[in-house]
Amino acid sequence: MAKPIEIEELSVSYGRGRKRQRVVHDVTFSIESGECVGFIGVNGAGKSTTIKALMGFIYADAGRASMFGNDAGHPDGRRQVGYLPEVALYYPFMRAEELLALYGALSGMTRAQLRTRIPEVLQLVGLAGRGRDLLREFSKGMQQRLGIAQALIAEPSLLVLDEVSAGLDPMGRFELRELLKKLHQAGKTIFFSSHELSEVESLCDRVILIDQGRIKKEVTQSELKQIGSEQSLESFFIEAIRGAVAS
Amino acid sequence: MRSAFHMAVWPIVRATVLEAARRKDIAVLAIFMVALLFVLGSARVVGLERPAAGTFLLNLSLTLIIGGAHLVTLLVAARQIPDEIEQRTLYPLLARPIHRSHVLIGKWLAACLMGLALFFSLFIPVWLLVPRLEHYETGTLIQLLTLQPMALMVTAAVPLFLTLCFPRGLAMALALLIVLGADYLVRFVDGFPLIWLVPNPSRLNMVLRYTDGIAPLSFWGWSALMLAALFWTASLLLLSRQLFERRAL
Repeated sequence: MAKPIEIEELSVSYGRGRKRQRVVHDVTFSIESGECVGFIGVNGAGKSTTIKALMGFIYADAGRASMFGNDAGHPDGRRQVGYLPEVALYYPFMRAEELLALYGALSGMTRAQLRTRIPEVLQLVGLAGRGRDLLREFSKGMQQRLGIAQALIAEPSLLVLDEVSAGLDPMGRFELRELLKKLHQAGKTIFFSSHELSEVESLCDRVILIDQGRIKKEVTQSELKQIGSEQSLESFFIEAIRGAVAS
Repeated sequence: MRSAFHMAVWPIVRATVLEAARRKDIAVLAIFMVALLFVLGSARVVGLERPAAGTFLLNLSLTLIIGGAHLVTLLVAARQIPDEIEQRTLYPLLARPIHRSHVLIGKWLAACLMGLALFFSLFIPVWLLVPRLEHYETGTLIQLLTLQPMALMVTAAVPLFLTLCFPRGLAMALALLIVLGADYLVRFVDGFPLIWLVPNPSRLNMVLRYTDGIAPLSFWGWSALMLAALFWTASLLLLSRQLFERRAL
């Protein structure tokens, strides 16, 4: 059976002509079904670019990215995927439930399915009772919660979440962690990028560290726990990025 | 089995129409048009003595509603792709199991429907309210009513294509120039094949022919205009698709 995510020697560049710059270099990793994997790195490390290439929003110079055996950009690969973009300002003149109905319908859900699913996901992300509100009235944190709701609407088996906790207050982050834990326990495959090391530590089976477009390190959960007992996770990752930790 | 249109295009059409209809600028334009028509329609109540005045009012009303419908279509179509990219809403949309061309067709169709809805919802009151005191050709009216939707299809495709090539402001200016001014531009190259290559929705406007009481076009003349509209729309949409599919987002 094809893996939910497979990336092989992926390279991506931005710009044209002389200004063309490679931002992701020969990135290779894969994610097994049911795994929860964190993708971490500093700003501009190449996390979002790798995720965009995986989703087919940008094209790779070389290498291959696939989801469930389908090349990046092929609609079949996205059939079982819920995706949260890094930042999105959802349509200001739509209501929350209309937005979810749009994304649900595009994922192939019927009206009857949507009628039961929309209140469920709004409840899940803490927006129960806000379905009729126009999105221009939503705060940044509420927009992020709605973003998570749209990723979950079609009950995907793989979640790809870019900067999942951006814009959320401490309570929101706690609730999100609990939600992701529940989804992981329910067998969902989760791949998310984050700056929040505490999130990564508490949720992930594995962590992939990227810096300057290159994979620096992959750490399993048991290694994470061991690191956590010896030094702070933060200092470990800072050292990893600086190249002080032997790979 | 649900068709690709039903699953991938129609939800985008619905959402785009819903969003566009709630925006204030479109609502203001629609209210302005309705108010203007109310003033024009009051001529029936007051009464007109000179038939030429009735023809003038009919011409003015039809010109205004056609202009308004094209403006709404253009405004709706021109903001679609730039807004989706700026607000990053294109990502969750394209994260679904759909092709980019579905998004493009959905946006184009929504802009067409907005223009068509405005055109027909105002045409009926104009038809009922403005006095018609001279002889007008029914055949020409039928041609006007069949060519106008085609003209709106072209008008929706023009800004959609241009916003994929140029920044929003420039694309909007060029789209306005083509939609409103192509008829004047092609006069300079009369007789040259360019006259059929430049998308020209004004060429499909039969209002003057109708209000001047001129006989309808021959079947072949009408068919040529219909085919030209289809050619312009299909070409623009195919070019837009090529640009959109290749674009890094």
